[in-house]
Amino acid sequence: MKNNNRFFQKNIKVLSLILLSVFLSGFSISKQDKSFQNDLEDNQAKPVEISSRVSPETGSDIKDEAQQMPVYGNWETFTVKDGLPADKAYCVRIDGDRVLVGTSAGLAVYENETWKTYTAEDGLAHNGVLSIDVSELTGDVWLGTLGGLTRWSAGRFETFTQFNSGLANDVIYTVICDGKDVWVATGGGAGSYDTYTREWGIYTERNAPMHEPWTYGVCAGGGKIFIAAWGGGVIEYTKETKQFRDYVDPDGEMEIDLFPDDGVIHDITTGVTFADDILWVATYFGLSRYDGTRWKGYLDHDSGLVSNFINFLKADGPVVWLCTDLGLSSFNGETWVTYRKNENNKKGKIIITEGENTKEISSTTSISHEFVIGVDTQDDVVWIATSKGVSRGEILKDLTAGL
Amino acid sequence: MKNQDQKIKLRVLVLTILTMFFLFPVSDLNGQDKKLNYGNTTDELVPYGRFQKAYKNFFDDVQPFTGAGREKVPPTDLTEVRIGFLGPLEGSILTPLGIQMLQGASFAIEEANNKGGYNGIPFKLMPHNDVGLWGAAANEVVKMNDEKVWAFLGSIDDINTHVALRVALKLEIPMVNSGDPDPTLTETRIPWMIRNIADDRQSSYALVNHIYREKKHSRIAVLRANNRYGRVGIMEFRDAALRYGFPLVLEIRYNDGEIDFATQIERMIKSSPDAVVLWGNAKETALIINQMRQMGMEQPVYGSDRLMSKELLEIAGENAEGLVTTCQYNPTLDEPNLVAFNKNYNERYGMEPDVFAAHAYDGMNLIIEAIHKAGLNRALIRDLLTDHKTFQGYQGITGELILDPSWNDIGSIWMTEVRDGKFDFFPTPPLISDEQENKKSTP
Amino acid sequence: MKRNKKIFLVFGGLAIISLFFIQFHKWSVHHVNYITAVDDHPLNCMSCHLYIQKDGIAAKLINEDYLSPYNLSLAPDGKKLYVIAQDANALLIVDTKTNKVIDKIEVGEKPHSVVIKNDGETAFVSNQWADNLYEIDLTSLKVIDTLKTGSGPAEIIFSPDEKFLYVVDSYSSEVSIFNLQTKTEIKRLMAGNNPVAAVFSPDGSQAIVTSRRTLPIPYGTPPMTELTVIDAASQRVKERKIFENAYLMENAAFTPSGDLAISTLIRPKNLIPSVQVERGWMMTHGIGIIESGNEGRMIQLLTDEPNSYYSDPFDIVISPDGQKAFISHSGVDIITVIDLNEIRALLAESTQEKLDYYSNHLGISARYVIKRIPTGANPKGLVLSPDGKYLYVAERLEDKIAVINTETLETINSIDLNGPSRITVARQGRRLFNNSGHTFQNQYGCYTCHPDSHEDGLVYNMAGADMGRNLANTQTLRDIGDIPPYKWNGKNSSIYKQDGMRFSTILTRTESFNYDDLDALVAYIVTGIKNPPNLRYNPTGELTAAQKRGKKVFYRTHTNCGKEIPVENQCATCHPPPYFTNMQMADVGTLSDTDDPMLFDAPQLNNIYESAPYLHDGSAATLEELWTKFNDDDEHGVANDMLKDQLNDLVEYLKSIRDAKYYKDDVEEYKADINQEN
Repeated sequence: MKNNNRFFQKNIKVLSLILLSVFLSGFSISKQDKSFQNDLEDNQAKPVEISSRVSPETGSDIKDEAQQMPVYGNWETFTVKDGLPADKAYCVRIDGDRVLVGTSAGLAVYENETWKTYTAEDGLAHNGVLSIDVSELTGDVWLGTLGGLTRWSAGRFETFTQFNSGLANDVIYTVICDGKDVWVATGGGAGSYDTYTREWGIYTERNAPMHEPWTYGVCAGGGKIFIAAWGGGVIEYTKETKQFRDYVDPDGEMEIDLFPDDGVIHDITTGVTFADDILWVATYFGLSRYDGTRWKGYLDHDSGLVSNFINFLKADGPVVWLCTDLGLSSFNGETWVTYRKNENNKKGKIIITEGENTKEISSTTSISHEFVIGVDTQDDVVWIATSKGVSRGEILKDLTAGL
Repeated sequence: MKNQDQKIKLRVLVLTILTMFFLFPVSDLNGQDKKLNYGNTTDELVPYGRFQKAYKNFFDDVQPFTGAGREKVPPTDLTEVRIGFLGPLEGSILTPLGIQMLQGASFAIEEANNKGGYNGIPFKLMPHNDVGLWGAAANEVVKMNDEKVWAFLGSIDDINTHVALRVALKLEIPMVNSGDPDPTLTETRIPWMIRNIADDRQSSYALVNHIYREKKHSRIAVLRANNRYGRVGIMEFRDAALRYGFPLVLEIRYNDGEIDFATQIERMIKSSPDAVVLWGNAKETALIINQMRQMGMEQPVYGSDRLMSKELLEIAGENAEGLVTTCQYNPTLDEPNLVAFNKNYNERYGMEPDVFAAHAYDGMNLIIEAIHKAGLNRALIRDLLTDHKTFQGYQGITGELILDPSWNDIGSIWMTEVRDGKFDFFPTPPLISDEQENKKSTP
Repeated sequence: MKRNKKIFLVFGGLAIISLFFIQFHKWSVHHVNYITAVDDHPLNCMSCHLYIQKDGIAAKLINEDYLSPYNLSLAPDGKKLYVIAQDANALLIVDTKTNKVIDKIEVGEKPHSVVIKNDGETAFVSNQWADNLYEIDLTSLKVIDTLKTGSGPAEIIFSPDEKFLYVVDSYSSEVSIFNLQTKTEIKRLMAGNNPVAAVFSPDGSQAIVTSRRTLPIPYGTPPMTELTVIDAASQRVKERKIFENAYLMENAAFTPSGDLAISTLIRPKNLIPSVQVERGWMMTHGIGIIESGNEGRMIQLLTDEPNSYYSDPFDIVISPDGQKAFISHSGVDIITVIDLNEIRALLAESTQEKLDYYSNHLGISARYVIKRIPTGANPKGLVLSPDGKYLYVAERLEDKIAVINTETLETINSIDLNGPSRITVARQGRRLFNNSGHTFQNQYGCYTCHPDSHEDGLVYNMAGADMGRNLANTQTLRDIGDIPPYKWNGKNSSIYKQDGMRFSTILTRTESFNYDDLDALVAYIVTGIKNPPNLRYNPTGELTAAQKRGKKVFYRTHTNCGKEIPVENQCATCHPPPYFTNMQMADVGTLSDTDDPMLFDAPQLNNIYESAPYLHDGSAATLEELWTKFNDDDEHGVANDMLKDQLNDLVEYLKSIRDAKYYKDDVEEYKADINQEN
């Protein structure tokens, strides 16, 4: 007892401090729990912690397919100051010697190192151009806008709306050309337009396995059309049989992913792309990959994906490009390369992740903004559309070049 | 020495008592928070919670908006500050609700303008009907963008609200939803919308707790509207009932506009339920209740939030007695702001405000206040609405706003029971956990 | 007694006959006056009851099967002339030495054009109403292959290396490109509206395609017609040249040096009140020119003269020396010869502003028109001999080929294609239809606004004295004999009335047709104008899934909510088969502020897909717009409950509706349904 007393006597201050700190920590925990995290400060592009948290890839086939991953740099940026009609660019499409950019204030065309803008006054359905594709057959440019679908053919604008045509809805998130057919993902269902027969198709919950008619992305490949249905996962349409099937999140819950790699990560899908027999699916909850047999999921905590919030994606051969709210990621099944902007010194960051190893390299040039909305590649060049300007990067033949 | 020991003992005792005094509430708080899963979900109601921990919980954190826009300089030549409104204004069975919603929003605008608008510039409401032909909601939001609104309020119908939200994201327009209780609306990670009305998840939990744990029913038949409100609304109820160990004995549907429900009621009778849950709009539900009683079904009836309506009482009359529903607020509370709103609204529009008017009023006030604080910049208005600080705990006429990480309102929800031809409101009782339930049932 | 009885019977009989005759005469006068809307018609029963017989023995007896030469090609050595006999579905081969028809090859329905390969051994013929090409071996004179095209294949051209074939799909407004090695269609390029002709530039770098109809334009604006330029290397459209205030660009030609590309065209003043006709200049006719220099400057020049118009320019050919152009004016039976050096000089000395002024100048043609050569009825296709010495002219309604010496500019020969020698009443009517002789100063013929007896897609200010009042969308004349009344407001109870007094008062502003001519014109309109097969949307009669769903929507009696649709607001009430018109007047809520009050004659829906724009004033650009823009109050059928995919289905069904002859069963079914309901 005496010892005890002595102990108390000696350590009374320490004990008091401990007790006080316990109290304070309890209080602070309770306060934090009640008010949640303040993201206002986080809004300013908080850097993602890159560490060795990445779990090893499990799918051996992915490794087998992986090829050498190119690294891009020498970023050149274009904004209103350079001739863009608006800084906010929704999409970009390389078309031979020119580059087409869909902005919030019209279509911008970069040719011979100058920008030219086309707006609703010229015949665009709406100045908000969300998606662009070019028909390989005819060279016609198809523009998905906030106010309808426009075909731009050798200078002539032809507009299809839900009022003058069979278009499902005027808000067109994605347009693609598939041979003579044009497919759209709209706010009122997916749609198809046969440029030969002029027949429109509308695909909604009334005739396809969707819960609701909201669609966000569409792509073609392997004799199929894949539709990113908002809340309905991925809808697959086989052209030959004209049959639909769907791929949904097996756990059926919006708030969780129960098991990794059990199917598409989430039913709210934002984009689809198909290349090399692989279907890639973007969500605001991560990335999914489907090889026709197995699904594999990628999240920011278990892979080199920089953010789960994926605005758009596009596969080019073995490489898939991911436009996220924290930069541009690219992935070939084995290696991740992410391009970010260093807010402190305006330089760029290249983050390379392979298995559990992550390396960050500083680059002298940077993408124009980390909120990336669109991407397109051709040969050794990549173009991206961002929340503030568009950027053009090129393959760094010598990785040290430009770094 | 003895004195010293006593002194020490006393000090320790005081300190211990003080510590215990402070620690108890903290531990109590922590204890409660430990139970709080996403959406106020108790442990036993967590999806797959009894069997498997989820690989990823998507709404543990907040989705930031990292895009550009905060740097945009506000215009200096404005003559009005436009705020959009999207609701069912004509051509829909929801039109009466949409009109109330519009009036609630307009009322807030009028009050704000009476106080000088935004730095002397009046606010202007830009109403848009979401029920136009051939899928209007998406186009209407585009029109709002062309009209240069700074934010908008909308809507009630699930489908239209979802569509509007998608466009709001693309156009980056802050959106406040005050009328669509679809739980999936805020489960999209779109950082451009907050909701200031409790959702069907909260309604479902309240009903499930009341029906199974308090009233001890075990065989529930559901008759719901064959629309998204009915389909999505019942989902959380169905799942929660299942997780409590009581799968629904029957779930059947009816179409909007139907007037004869004999077939469905016969099926319900055959399923021998000991209570019935109705999820749909007031008119059809009232007719169903009448026909149920007519066909000899005397089981207690529980229902969704839209049943708390004058129309239901008028059509169902005495048959509505005992009907228990949820409601996202209590319009009969003796809160000065609420009382004043009810009175002024009645004077202004010649009718009592309903749940949509009241939440629209609160929602519009959130937008107005956000504009006042953030200025005329959409991204900054968004930042404010979603920062979990500025409006966390906001006291509106509909109660306290508590936003979860997905910006869903998980504040309190009320329940009502029809007694003597009126809706009697009572607070939702705390959810009874498995442990408490087991204790109760063990002698 | 017996005699008296006989007398009584005879006189009684005579009295009854007289009475009957008087009554019959009275009825006949009333009937004829009602039908013709005049009171001095000679009461020739045959006018209506014989000449307008469409089938049966009488029809066979009074009508003939004509050839109607339309387009021509010459063998590379010039020894054989290949003639498209449009009405005989045949390719005629003429020996240019003897000027005799030496062979006839059966081709597909309504052939349009023929091209011959450089080796002279193979020909391709486009069958406009069969949507295909025939490949013909000219040695064996056999059809050796059939290539499926887009809709309404018209002109065909080879790429310079003859590896590819470009086909102008006139109905679907495209150009199909075929790989001749694989005989496959590799792509279709969007062309202008209703393109018909194409020609490669002399250097082979590009092809130009002319079109007849204006592009879809904002309501109430003048026509804008596209000339499409296709880059031969990429086989993509590289430019779309828009000729403003012009249309009906039927054909085009390059000068041998390529310095000029010239197309025929018409400049309509459709938005000017039609009273302008009696002041002239309502329709002017001429050429559109594109210079290879001057950044591709575009010019329009008239071939008309003050107080004399040369209507409906059709084909154009240019002499091998590049000095002269020859234009067939099918509305006035004239070949105009143009001095291209004068044109070059005019272009060289004129600013764009000056040239714009010339585009409306009736006197400028005196500078470059060097000769007007008369031809037989309705000259169409032209071809020059390889040495340029002879011009062959297809005289379509003469069944002959005129041969003109290009040095003397005189007709030196006429090749008889051995068609029927007799000119039937209907044939005479067709000549009248295609000729401008009855219009004040020959400004236009029926054909001008009704090319192919169909419609030109323009909206006219009919008879109104004020700008923009009473605008009327041109209506088709195909198969209209059995569906009176006529005009949008249904004021004309018969074609006699439509094309009689009213015609001269409002449209031609000259003396009206005499009764023989009127009989002939009516006979042609009633018997000679058929709907093309609807190969595009309903080739076999088997409806697509969407069309079947749309048919249900068309015949529905209840809304999506289960509410009964009032009979007068159901589609099939006003649009019952076989013509899909009940021939009654109705108010569908589409009267505009600029219209005088009127009800609308329910229009027929056969082949409705090729009649854009829609509504009486052409305000609906597409079928969809009928319901998305002009039916707010469900007056034009209850449609506002429909989902978009249902509307699409309905439109697909409407586009599938073809000629009335296919809907006899539907009539019975429809009547049975109605009876059942009643």
